Amino acid sequence: MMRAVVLVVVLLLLVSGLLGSFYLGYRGIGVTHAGPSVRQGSLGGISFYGGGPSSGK
Amino acid sequence: MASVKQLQCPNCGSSLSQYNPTSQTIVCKSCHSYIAVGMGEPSVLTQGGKLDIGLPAKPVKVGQIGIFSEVKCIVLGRVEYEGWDSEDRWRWTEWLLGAQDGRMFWLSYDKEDGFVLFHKTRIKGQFNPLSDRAIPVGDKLMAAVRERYPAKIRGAEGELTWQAKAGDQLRMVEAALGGKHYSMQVATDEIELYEGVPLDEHKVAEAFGDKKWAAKAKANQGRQFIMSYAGMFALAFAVFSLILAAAFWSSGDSMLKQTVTLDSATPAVVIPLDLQTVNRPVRISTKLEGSIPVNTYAEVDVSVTDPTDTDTDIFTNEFWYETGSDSDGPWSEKDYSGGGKFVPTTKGVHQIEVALGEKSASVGSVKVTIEVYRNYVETIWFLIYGGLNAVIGLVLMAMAHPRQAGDLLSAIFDD
Repeated sequence: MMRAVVLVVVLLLLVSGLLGSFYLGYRGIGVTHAGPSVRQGSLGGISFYGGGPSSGK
Repeated sequence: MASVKQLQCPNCGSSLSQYNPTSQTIVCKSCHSYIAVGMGEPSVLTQGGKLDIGLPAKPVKVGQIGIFSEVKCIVLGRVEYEGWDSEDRWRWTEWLLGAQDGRMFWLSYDKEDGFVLFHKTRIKGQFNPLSDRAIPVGDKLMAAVRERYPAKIRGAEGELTWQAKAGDQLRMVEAALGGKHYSMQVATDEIELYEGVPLDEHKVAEAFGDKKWAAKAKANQGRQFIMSYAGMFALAFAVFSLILAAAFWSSGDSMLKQTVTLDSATPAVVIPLDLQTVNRPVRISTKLEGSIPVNTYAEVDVSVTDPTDTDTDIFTNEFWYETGSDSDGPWSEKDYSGGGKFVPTTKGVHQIEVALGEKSASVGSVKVTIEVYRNYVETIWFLIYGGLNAVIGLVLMAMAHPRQAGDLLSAIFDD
């Protein structure tokens, strides 16, 4: 019983990891974002969006 | 269990109890000499010294009584072996079990295979231990040889059924068929074949009536089961995520395809792109049409200006064409394609600027086809997830089944 519960938890973790990978890829996390970083929100003046544009070209 | 014979150690004079009438060696408990027994008076095979074999890997002691399949057995002796090949050395333990009905068994333990209970059997046909790939073990039954290696006796205690002493060398041939293990021991004057069945550690512990050991072994087996299946699941998900990465590699809906010519007169071209979906990656692929002169390269910079006039550099492609010659003769290589991605954060018309890089003057003009795909799915996360799962899966499999994981790794890396 215990083994089955642990394996179900492992399977859930693996499935959620796969779905998480899909979500990150779907939203383009890690890809260069084109646009003003302020649109992504900020916290105390510190942008919490990591893929900011290189402006002033 | 009563001893059949009381003898005296010819080296130190201590008393030696012989339980098995067919034993040929007894290791003296007092001086650790290897004493030849059987026909005639006991004689010293090797004079006593420090007992260097240490404690057994598992708590099975000489003299202990165990019940295997309702057959009562006494542990008559223990032999510690060491095997080696060009890369590795490993050790294993064998206990000689004497059954009440006179049969003899060997209980073997090593970290890879766990416990295996062997009994002596006959070779059912001709077999060359140095080269043959399968051992004849029954009517048309051939056990596939999986390992062949030299080994030596590190030490022993109790009784043995052949004349042996620490340091004696032999050759081992291991085979398997239908879940059974076959172990052949090849010494200078004889060949012996043993057939064995694997035993769960907790069953061995229960056979010896050691409840504490049995409980610990059962818990270990449970952990091993979980690690084994978790490892397999992780590997399966690793494979699946790599398939997904391949499937999404060139994903996206094509929304624009345009060929532009860039030269010193027109070093940059702007292509408008109406994007109504934000926060979804857009993939741009570039392809150089025609050719560039030999041993030159062209740089193409791609940037995007969003509706708020924010410029963002997306990527730079370097198209190149190189030739040369080496010991294999002349060679020629070129790279005429590339690409990049960006995520729009504002709805509206974006200006995609395709510009000839500063270092591209020598190529004259280049013709580049730009294709833009929206709703792309970035694949790097599948690759990271797949890679991590593969590592975790292999580690779990290695912890649960060292031999299988080793075989899997060698299958991957030896090819």
